[in-house]
Amino acid sequence: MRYLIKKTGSAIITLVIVSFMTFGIFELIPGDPVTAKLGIEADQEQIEALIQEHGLDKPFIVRYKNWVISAIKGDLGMSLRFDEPVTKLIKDRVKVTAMLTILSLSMTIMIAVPLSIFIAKYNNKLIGILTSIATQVGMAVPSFWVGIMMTYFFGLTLRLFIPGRYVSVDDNFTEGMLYLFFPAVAIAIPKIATVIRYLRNAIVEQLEANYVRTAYAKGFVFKGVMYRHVLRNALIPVITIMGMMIADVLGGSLIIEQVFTIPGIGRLLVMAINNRDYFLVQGMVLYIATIIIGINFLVDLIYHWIDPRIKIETL
Amino acid sequence: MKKILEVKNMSIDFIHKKTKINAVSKLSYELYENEVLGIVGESGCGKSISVMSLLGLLSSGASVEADHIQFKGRDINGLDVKALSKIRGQEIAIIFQEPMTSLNPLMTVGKQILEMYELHTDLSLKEALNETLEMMEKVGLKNVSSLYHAYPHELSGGMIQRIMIAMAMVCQPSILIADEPTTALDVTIQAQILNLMRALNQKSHTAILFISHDLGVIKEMCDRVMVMYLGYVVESGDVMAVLNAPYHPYTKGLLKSIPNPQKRHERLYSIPGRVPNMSDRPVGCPFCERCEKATEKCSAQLPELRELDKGHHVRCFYPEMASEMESL
Repeated sequence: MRYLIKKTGSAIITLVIVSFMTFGIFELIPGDPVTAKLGIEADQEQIEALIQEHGLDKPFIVRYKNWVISAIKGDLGMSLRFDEPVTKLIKDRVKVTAMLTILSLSMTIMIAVPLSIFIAKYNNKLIGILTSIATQVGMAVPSFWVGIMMTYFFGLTLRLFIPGRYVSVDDNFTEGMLYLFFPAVAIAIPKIATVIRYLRNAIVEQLEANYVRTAYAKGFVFKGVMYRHVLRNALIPVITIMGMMIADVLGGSLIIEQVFTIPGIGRLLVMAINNRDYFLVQGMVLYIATIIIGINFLVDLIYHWIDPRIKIETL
Repeated sequence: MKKILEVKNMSIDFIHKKTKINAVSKLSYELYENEVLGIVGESGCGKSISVMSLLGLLSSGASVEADHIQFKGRDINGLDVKALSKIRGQEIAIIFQEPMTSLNPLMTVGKQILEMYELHTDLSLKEALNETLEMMEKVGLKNVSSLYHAYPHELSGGMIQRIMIAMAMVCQPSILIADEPTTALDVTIQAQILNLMRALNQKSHTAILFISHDLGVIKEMCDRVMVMYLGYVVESGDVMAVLNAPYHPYTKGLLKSIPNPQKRHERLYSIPGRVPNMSDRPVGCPFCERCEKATEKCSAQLPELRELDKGHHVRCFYPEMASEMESL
């Protein structure tokens, strides 16, 4: 319990620091929201009105305070470009990105975990080299290339989906899922390779441990030894990586969403930056930071839950 | 007494960098019901592997050959993993040397005992839980219901060894293999664990294969003893006969290496040289290079294991000469 309080406290502090920096950076970089919205040829009256509307004439600290208070209330201001609340824009896109995350992550787990176990079980020199090459390639191939190849092959040749015509799962579940399936694969491939690389090594290492010998001596066969004893131990180093992956995809896969024209967080961010949509960018940076802090928080909890040896002091 | 295990001419080889290294040669021994058989020798003499091989628990590079390994009238030599896993834990249980690393660090110790019931009995979860707690009490643990939920890192080596013993005794096995069970423990704890094992041996008639390099412990625990050197049995027989009137120079050397408080101003004896590598084992008697009495014959020819007194076997050409060596 003390652990939980401590972790929550540190997560909140991190969040405050990040929000301050997010807000502060937009003060420092050149350009301002008013010129961004009205252009350089706007007349003084319009400018004054807009400044008044967004409260830009107040001192920095006051504006930061107001921003934080409304952010807590769930209001991150209006997008300059879309004339819609930033929170609504993000909320709409998060659903798509979350779907993509769940899909690609479950693929990663469902493929990487059994495959790692299999490779570790028949561990020998040849398999080791082949795995190493395969995972190396998997990690090295850029996902946009995989995306383009898939669009070409599954989209244009096999016509399993129509490239560029995004179907929302709300409108048509099967078609929507099918549309998301291929980008999810493109995202999953390097992640699968990474997980296998780490998990296989961890399993091989754990299989040498004394408690494994004990498990065999108790009368377990490989399956029991693996699923009851080894896997949990081997997962410890992999959890951090998994956490980083989730945060990575939830923060928007800029390239994949672009290649497959998926209206997710990644594309929104690209648009926001291109349009110098200050409030939107600000809101999204805060969103991404929150996601990362939240995931790290979860990873810490999972660690604590899996490994009782982790003491509060060591974290 | 009924014979429950008979190993006949067991040899164990390891493949290392494509060369075959012989680690145990033509080892034969018997184990009787209710008996404690000690196996003693320096590190690297093949003590552990010659018992781990019974259950197929050697690393994948090892190959075991034997005329037969008769266990309760059934040859278990070369059984497949599935058949062996039915014997493991159920018929032959093991306690290992390193208590701190022998349990899964991420699972409560109670759960690790409970697993034995899940594996080998049809008890319901509740019954198994009760049995587990009872078993923990039997091996002398206190506050068992809270201890059940403890993780291995929260316990001391002695407590873990008790947990290991509880785990081993769940199925009332016919044989308990104890691979240096007290080497890593404090002397006082060591005595407690040894007493516990002795008591269990007498109560449940479990035969014990007791591996140790400590002759004092062997003397305390065992009925018979087998002295191993470089994969060969060099002397075997009743504990009292072997340790009080050893024939083999190696056994004598081991006995002389025990610190003696009465001779505390003298330099402690140690057998000259060191155990050679398995891969360059002498052609003749395995001990010839370190033996003070060795002759040319010793380095040319391997002596047979022969019975000198009843039940007392020695692998030496000149046991009489050796026994003339100053005794302790």
